[in-house]
Amino acid sequence: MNKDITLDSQTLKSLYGNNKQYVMPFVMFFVSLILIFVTILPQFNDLLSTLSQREDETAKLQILKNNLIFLTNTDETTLNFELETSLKALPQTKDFESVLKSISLAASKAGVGLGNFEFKVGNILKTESGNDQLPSLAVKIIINDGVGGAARFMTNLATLLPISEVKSVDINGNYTNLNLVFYYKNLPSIKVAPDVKLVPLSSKQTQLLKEISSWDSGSTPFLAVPELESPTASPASNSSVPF
Amino acid sequence: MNNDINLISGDLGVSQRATWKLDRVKLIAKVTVLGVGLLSILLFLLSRVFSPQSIIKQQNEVIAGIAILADKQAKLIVLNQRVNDISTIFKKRKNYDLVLSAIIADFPANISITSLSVDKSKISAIVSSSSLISLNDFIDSLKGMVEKKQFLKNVTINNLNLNGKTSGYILTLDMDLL
Repeated sequence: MNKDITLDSQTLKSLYGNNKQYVMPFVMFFVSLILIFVTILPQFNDLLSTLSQREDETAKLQILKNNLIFLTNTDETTLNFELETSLKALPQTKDFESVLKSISLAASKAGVGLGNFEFKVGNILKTESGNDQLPSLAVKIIINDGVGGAARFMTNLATLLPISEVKSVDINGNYTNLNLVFYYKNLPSIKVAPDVKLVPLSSKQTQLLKEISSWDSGSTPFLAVPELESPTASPASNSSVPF
Repeated sequence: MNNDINLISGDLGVSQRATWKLDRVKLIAKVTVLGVGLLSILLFLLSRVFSPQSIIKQQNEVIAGIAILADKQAKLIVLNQRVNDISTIFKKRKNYDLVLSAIIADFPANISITSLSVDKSKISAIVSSSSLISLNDFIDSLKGMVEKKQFLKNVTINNLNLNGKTSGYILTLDMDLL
């Protein structure tokens, strides 16, 4: 018997003839294995991704619903009043008239005379911001009084609008030089995603607004609401909406 | 009779085993194909059932409702931003009026402030008096403010001079604010 096996066509034909019944099942089996990797696994990954996306969208829907409820329940009159107060405290522009009125009123209440004024105006149309990161209008004034009068003037000015801050005090006998800043802030263009959670004012903030609403002011705020840009456009949201 | 030469039974045993083997292989192949098919259909159906489309549809309805209240939303956002800014200003604002009021609260009668400057976290003052006792009382009141941590962190006396012309004393000092 010849033990050497040679793979010639005769041998292959013989092997095929003996095992041809097994060919089709093995082909089916291997095709199934390939299909598992090519279709089943990707489908499974897609399902996991779908489930994750559904969870995210459900959370987003809850935020949207809460926002809608919050907006519906917010009293417009109170909102307008609070906004008006905040705009008086922090005007949209360099409000020279209200600054002068505040200074005059503070001096009058303190019983002191006013000397010269000096505004550091800069570009009237341009917003300037210093180290405080909020834009401000710098004013230098002279008060015709010493420490007592200066202290009373500053105390009165601190409870007048727009909001101001004393940067430096220089008292020489009966004259006081004050460097003041009056803060303002432009109304920016607002880009809001509707699913950003709307937060009501805290009780501290509400109390603060209530307190400053009783302060005197020389300003009349211009209440123009900037256009709200929403990433998901719908017909109702694209118009400019004044108060 | 030699039973070893029973050709019929030997062929039947080998043939039967081969048939079983083939049948098993065929069964496994069929089950595999069927399983893959069923699994694919199942996964497809689950993807359709758990599709987020219905949630997104609800979101669009709510967004449409929010869009009607867009001006209210804008006002709320502006209000929140502004109140935060106002709070920040009040937190950082130095109340120099309170400091000065506290310093002159217990001011002895015969002391006058020649000059005083306040800048950031420091007060520099020159005070004059004809009485050393009054100046001493003034320094004591400042010392009390430092001990009570009332506005002042530190008081440094730079100079004490006698003005020969007026016979008055001139005290120069610096105060560091808390």
